[in-house]
Amino acid sequence: MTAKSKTHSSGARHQNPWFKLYILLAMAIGLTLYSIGVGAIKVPIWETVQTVFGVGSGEFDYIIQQYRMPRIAMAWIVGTGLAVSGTMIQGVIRNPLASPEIIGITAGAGLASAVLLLGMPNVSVQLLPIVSFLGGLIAAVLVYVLAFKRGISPARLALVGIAVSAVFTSGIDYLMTSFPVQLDMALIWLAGSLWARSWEQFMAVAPWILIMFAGCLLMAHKLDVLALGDEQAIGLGIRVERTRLLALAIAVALAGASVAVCGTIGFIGLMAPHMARRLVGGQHHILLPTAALVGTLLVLSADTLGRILSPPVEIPAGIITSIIGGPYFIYLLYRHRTW
Amino acid sequence: MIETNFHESRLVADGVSVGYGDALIINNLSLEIVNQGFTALVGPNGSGKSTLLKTFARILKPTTGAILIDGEFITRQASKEVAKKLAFLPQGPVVPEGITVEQLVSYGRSPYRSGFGTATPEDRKITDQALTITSLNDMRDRPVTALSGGQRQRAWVAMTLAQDTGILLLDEPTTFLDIAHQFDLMDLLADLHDNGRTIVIVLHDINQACRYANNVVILRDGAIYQQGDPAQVISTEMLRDVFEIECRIVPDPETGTPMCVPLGNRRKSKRASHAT
Repeated sequence: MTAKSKTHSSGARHQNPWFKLYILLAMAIGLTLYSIGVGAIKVPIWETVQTVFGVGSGEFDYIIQQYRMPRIAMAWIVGTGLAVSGTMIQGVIRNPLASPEIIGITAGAGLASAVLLLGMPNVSVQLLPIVSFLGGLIAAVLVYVLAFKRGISPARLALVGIAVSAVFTSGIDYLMTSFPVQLDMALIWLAGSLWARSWEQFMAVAPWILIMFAGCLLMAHKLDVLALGDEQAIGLGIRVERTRLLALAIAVALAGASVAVCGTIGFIGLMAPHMARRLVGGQHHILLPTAALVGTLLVLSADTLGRILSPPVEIPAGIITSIIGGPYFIYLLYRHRTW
Repeated sequence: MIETNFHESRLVADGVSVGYGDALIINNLSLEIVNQGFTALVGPNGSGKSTLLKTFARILKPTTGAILIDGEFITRQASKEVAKKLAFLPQGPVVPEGITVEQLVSYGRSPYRSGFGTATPEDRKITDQALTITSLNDMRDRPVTALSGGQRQRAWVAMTLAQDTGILLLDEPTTFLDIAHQFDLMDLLADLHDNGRTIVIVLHDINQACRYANNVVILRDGAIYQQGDPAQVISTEMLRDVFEIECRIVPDPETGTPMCVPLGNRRKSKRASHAT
């Protein structure tokens, strides 16, 4: 795979990565303001800004502050969670095709949440991220244990992950076909939607995701060194298994928390890290925040598109990201087809 | 084997056995690496030379016995501290995408970093020195993936130099290089050796080993067959025993070190068998 990418490695990619980060940030803020204004009821941009800061006419206070702002705040937090999760996983198992979806975390978290919603329909929102995290953790541990043979080989981890994912996904499918009525709500949610997300749900996951993100930034240098291969990393004094385990645990927590509130917004964890890598290169101290912003932009765009395509009907963001993500995954497969 | 054993060598293998799975590759091997020496580990495929080097580098853990560095068990010391004493260049390391030569070389400073710590002026100075020694200064901003094989190998060596260790372990660094780059790299290592570094290198090419190393360790079936000055250990009997090849040994016309020249009848008989 390294030989193939030679032709793509022009010097331009390495110029001023921080500038690119600021551009992305500006784009995300711009899209946020636009997104708050559009939908079934359109709000002019200046009115939007005023209302966001609480100095508007009051006419749009409810729709903006209680309806659109939480879902957009959620887009930021979920986009960040999924993208950073994917970046950690790709960094640790050195496989450009790896993501929370591929190594089973998303399916595990989804199944656990579906079971919880089925068993205890009136469950507290606070509990959902934890159960979802546990589901993702069980799936990830299962993958790790099955893939462990005197350490973890990247290829084995990805292969086992795909297999375990398939099992968990078929579990979700079984529940969906067996209990269609009860799971109606979960169905919308599992498709990955920001519809009707509240501040309460935001507060249930935002602290988790922000703390984990800070933890990732602390690990940035170790992740850089891990990218040189296990032997080289050991030679440089990194405790490889421990670092990998910690990074994967954080990745599970990030993806689990995201899935808990927005379902499986597919392919964000795959696409965002990859795009960010092409934008700013492979050093994690810049790659991680860049991926977070790309993830946010993707989720925001998908959610906004889903709202403006055919109002008042909403297309779940997860469906839109899958429409883009599927071909992107195929493109990646094609680019890395040597293995 | 007790920890207080006095060894003159900084790096010692004390009765180590190593294997992958059930198969033992190295069996009860002891070796003291000559301080400030240029030690070449040679042997046929499967003789355990790479395994031995990786054991010295704490990549592989011996099932019995131990590696000592400065008289202490290597496993008892923080991996970061060991990384300040000994650098290891694996065979065919992963080429990371999206980083520049300078960034790669700066990773050699990681044992000296703490947590969030960014590069200190000292780190930058040593990184610059490593780039200069390896003649990579004008390529420092290029992506590693854009380098040729020879440049890439020099970048890896530069990274291990940035680690600023007294001991360098290298696993067949010349294998994928053309002949000119092989000798460039070996000359570079010889310079480093002249400046007081201890070099331990796995080599396939016996003649190269004789030319550069002052201590050649011959391995066969996971044990040391013989070790010492090239002039002492290279013999027709040894080559027959260990490498299963009939050779004449002549002095290298350039350096006077022993040079193995396989006997002509091998080539002739090979030709004959091709013809049939």
